[in-house]
Amino acid sequence: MIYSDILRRVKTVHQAKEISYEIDMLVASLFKKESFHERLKTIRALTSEDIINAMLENKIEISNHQAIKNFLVELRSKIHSLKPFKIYLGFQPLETTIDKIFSWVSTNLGFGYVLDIEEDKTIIGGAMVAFEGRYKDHSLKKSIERAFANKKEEIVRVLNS
Amino acid sequence: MTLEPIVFFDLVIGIFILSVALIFLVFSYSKTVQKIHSYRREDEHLKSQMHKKADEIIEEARQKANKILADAHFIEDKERLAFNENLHASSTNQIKDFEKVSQDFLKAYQNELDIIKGNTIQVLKNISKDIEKDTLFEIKDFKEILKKDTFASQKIVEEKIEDAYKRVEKEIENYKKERLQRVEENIYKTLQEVSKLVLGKTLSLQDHENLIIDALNQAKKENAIV
Repeated sequence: MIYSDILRRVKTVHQAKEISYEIDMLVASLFKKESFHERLKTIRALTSEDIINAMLENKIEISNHQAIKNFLVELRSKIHSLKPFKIYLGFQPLETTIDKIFSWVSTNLGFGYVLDIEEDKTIIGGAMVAFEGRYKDHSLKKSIERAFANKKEEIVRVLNS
Repeated sequence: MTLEPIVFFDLVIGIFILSVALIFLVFSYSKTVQKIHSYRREDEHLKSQMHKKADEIIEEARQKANKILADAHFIEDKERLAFNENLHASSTNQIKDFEKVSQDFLKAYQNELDIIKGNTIQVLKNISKDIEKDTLFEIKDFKEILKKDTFASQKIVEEKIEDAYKRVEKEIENYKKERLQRVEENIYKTLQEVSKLVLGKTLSLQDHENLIIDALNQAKKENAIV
């Protein structure tokens, strides 16, 4: 099955949870009176469009409920298998910032990762990264503290003069 | 039932013998009783005789005793009078002797007392002088010791005050240094915080994104992301 277009749209842990929930709703609707088509309208337009495109790409008939279910279950499984990339930022990122970070991750690590972004205002700027048991603090706070520590005597001398 | 003649004669003879024996016994008893009565009468007579004789002896003894007692009283009165006279004379002499001895003794005692009194006054005067001398000497000695001790104490107190002053001076110096260091530290921290605040506020979105990408690249360089 081809899921690459959908998976490329899942950039954060939050988005992965949302899509998983929507997939669960679609799977549940397959065996109810409410038609699959009707249910598709209730989920986010971008997701529903992606799912329809993927189904077409994989040549899955809309009447074949079992095939749709298999497709959706596998899609959900693929989403669950995405690895989190933990990053701490000094502000709540906009979509463009998320895109840039995700792009960097995709370029440097490849596909199969989602961003697990946490806001921490104390770090001011830059980022702290926790990835596969390793941790790096390259925040602006750390840089300022380091700079002040290196120049402490000089600063104190200036203050006393 | 009939008795044999020989048995009958035997019985008669037996009774006869017994009767004779009984008569003899009665006769003997009567004789003995008469003897006893005779002895009793004799005894009573002897007793009355004895009483009579005893009374006579006692009366005679009593009369003799009265006579002796009367004689004794007469002698006693005579001797008592002589004794009293002798006793009176002796007592008078004794009193006179005793008075004389007492006078002598009193005189001697008075003399002795005067001597002792004089000696005691002299001894007391000497003691008083000795005490005065010793006291003056001790006061002088005490003054010198006190003077020395006062100088020593003054020196110790001066040293202690000097030590305390130096210690306090050092403590003040340390406190000043500590306070100054704390002030410097606070200024330094404040400056740091202000820098963070200013930098954080002056960063644009582009700056933030660049810093994030720089951070990621740096982490990759340090092999935190592979």
